[in-house]
Amino acid sequence: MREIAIHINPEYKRRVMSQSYVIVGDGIAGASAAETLREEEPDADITIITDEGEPLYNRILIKEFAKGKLPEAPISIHDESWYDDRDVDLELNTLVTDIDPEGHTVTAHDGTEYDYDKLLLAIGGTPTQLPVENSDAEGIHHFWTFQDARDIKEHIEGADNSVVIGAGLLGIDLAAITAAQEVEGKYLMRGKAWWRYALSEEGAEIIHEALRERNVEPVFDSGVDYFEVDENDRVTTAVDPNGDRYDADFVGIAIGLNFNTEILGGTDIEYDNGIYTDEFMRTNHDDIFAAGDITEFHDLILGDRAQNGAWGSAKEQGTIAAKNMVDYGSEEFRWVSSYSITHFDFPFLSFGHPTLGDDHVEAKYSDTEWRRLAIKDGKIVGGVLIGDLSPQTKYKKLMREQVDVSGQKEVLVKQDFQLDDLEGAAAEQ
Amino acid sequence: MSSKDGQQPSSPDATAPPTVAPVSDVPPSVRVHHFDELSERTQHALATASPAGSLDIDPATSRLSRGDVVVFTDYVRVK
Ligand SMILES: Cc1cc2nc3c(=O)[nH]c(=O)nc-3n(C[C@H](O)[C@H](O)[C@H](O)COP(=O)(O)OP(=O)(O)OC[C@H]3O[C@@H](n4cnc5c(N)ncnc54)[C@H](O)[C@@H]3O)c2cc1C
Repeated sequence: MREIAIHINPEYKRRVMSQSYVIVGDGIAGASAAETLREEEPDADITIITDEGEPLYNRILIKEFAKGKLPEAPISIHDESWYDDRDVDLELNTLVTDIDPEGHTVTAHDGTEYDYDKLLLAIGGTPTQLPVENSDAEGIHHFWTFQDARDIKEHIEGADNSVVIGAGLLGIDLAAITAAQEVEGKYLMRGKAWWRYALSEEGAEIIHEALRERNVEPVFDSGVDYFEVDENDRVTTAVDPNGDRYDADFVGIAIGLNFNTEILGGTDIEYDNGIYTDEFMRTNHDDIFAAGDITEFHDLILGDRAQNGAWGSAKEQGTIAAKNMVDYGSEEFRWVSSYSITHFDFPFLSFGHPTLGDDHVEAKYSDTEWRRLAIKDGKIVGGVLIGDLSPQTKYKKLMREQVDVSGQKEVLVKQDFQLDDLEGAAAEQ
Repeated sequence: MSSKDGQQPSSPDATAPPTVAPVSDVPPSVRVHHFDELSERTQHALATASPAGSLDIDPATSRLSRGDVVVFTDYVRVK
């Protein structure tokens, strides 16, 4: 029998035949993509695959659950009926282990194959393990999933003393959980300041003081060399590189994320730390897109590759990716990300890329008010606001519109800064 | 994006501008947002109104509805 190859024009196929979309990851990026795909393509087949055992929940509220301040119910965002109502197939407890870009299939751990016309990888990251002796002992926690939060809550409620490692945005959540659960704690940090790549010692001292008030003691120039355990392999002590010993029956570690790129191994999808995409969230394969924490996307504002790790950005990337999966080039991702801390009496917000830049300016206004802007090539690329969030919109606008603020650093940090205060071209914004 | 509907208690005067007030207990049936889920405009209104005061948002376009709780420096409830 002769075989006949039939080529179907993709645009015709899109309009006339139903497309099949597979999304790997049911975090906020994957779930918002599914929602947008359904809005844009009422007849498409949509499958969302996750290795977690529960549908989308609010990852940025699980810390409040672990603190004991929120019940479980409001943390769930979708129940399974949300997917049924939208005719989206949800595959829980299913780990994708292989991608075949040529064959347009992904394979799960149990051998099930899923065919796709368009694939979205919204696979996020996994907390980095501390490579020291006994770091897998009982009582040592990492923090990413709701299940992690349940384990943390259960354990911290009965703990006597704690150690937290990781002086960044996730580490401080762990420290705040120990504080809220009234467990005395030591917060071990490298260097002399919390989040030292984004804050000066003066700015970080506001955070240190707030921690001390809550019975969490920052310990500087520290870290962990190894953990000691008891006969049941439960952690008892953290020993730092100086030989100082900190007793702890609860340990929280947040030293960074490993992005879940291992499934790309056998493919030619381009990635480094995360998956490379353009501003339309498309990878180097026309039919494969990526969204959320996993992407190293072309940042139109920075003019460079960038990676965000924030809820709002992941949600927006999921939406934008879906629109471009349906109609490539229809909407670009142009976004200033932000991330706040709500554990203290004063607000804290970081935006953009506060750890980048070739210059910066900062000012302190009171014991709980401080600001720092990171500047690159004369333009704002990020910042941190403590105490007063009111200039957020103005700084983000200057950043989004890539306004040259060269020579006007001091104006930018006037306490009641207004856009009109700027001179020259910057003033026209 | 939420599948939790029907959680807004009826307000005595639905036309009155929304306000916020601190809460300490959050019942399981309430819809809860983290500050970072809100738009810049709503964040600004909330930061200005917190911990108690009138909330300058358009309830028709904002993600926030009466009855919702927002996790900010305090837990506040939209009334
Ligand atoms: C404790 C905590 C507090 C945070 N606080 C804030 C905050 O206050 N503000 C803020 O803006 N951001 C915060 N973040 C960050 C924010 O939650 C993330 O940026 C955002 O959730 C990323 O969403 P995502 O969909 O890209 O990835 P994820 O939410 O990580 O989702 C990826 C999903 O893909 C699944 N997956 C991965 N690989 C596979 C595979 N091979 N097969 C099947 N499934 C797979 C994962 O299990 C996961 O469910 C916080 C994060 C944590 C953990």
